[in-house]
Amino acid sequence: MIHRWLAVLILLVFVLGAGSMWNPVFGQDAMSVQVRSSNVREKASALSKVLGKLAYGSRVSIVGKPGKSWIQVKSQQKTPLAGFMRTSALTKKKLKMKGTGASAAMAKADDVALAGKGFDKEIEDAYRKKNVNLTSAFAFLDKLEDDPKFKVKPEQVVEFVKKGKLKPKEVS
Amino acid sequence: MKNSIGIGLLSFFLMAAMLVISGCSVLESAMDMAPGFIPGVDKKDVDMAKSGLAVGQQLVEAVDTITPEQEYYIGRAAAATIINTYGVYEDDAATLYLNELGSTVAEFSDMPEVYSGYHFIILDSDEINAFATPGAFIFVTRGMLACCDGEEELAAVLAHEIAHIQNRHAIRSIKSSRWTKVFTKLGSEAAKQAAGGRDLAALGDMFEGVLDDVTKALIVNGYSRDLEEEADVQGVAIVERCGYSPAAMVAMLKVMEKSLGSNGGGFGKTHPSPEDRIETVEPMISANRITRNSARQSRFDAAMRGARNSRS
Repeated sequence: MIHRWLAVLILLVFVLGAGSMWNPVFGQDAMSVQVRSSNVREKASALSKVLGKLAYGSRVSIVGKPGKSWIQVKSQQKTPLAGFMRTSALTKKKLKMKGTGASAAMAKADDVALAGKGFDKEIEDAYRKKNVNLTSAFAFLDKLEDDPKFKVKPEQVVEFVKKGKLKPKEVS
Repeated sequence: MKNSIGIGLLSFFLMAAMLVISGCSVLESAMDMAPGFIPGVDKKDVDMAKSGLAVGQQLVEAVDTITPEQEYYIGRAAAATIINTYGVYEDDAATLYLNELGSTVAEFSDMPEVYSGYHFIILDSDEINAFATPGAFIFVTRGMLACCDGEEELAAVLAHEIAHIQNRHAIRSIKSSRWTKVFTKLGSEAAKQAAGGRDLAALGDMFEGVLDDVTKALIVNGYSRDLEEEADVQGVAIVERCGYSPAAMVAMLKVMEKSLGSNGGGFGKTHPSPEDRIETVEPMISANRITRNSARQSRFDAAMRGARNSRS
């Protein structure tokens, strides 16, 4: 009897182990941009030319995966943008606004709460209203994020590396 | 027989635990077959295991499914609290330089793109400290800048903080009991939200709870020694990828060690001692000398002179 249950356990470990090795990137052909704006580059390099940008929620088809950090993509737009994007900018989830009514009712509770309907600008606004002592701190953050002079563009990074005579060793 | 029942129960709960870890809902139904099939297991045991499975799955999913957008809003509020506590050192040239250096270092990390980009801020404090909130708001105090003799050391400080971001240490500091509460509440909230309404008060309370855990971990308690070691080890790897001498991490820690003697707060309170940290990273570094460059030193000195020398 004991041997029977040990055999069942071993089988379960094997099945679950095989399942956990499944790579989420393979076996699917599209991903979504999960950051506000992401660069599509000519090559899989931090210093490569930026061909264009894709906004949050944009869908891209996966063309290849040259390494851990980069995914070769083609955007699903009328005029597709093809190039390389960072793995950290993409998710396998579809990031659509969930809307209201029947479609939202079908969404899982945790999806509703944590993927677009949870902590967002509306919650921050309510928090700011309640914590007026943080008004100037939030104002500083707004200034830092919105003022173009503090936004570091990809070409500034290239220039910073060049002027500082740095020789980066990139990991693909 | 008693032994057989024990093995049966143990097997059953092991099976349930594996399902929790794997999050494999397909095999959940296998538990329904257990009563009468596994010795000593009845329906009560199945319900108990299923309830544990549900909570366990929610906790795993909570941390892993929280989106970069969610992290950003939690991080912005935590950043506002840090700014309110310490005050900002407002110097456009210094802030721009810090953001150029930090963005360059972040490009060579494992998480180069975050929801709204990386932002680096100087805090107007003599205390030696640095913080990284979720959503990539990274702070360094003037006291920390004074521990950096050049761009190389400052790059090492920023790389350590970026390593905290790429490992999502701040998000992982949120108590599991908090997530349980969030999910229990949201389960009952789902119907309301589906109807188009939002219980802002309830979500606001949850937001404050999450924020409380994050700011406490950042400012008061710090991370565990293991997480700090992880950030140091990965920080060294990041500066090396950027092209800086990894020895800069050790050099910065040595200055910090001296300075902390007279200033025990900040890093001293929330981080392992610099001596212990040096012991961790030194074996990773082949050359003990920092290769400096005049162009890098000039731009560091020009941008940081004011911040490093002023006293509040």
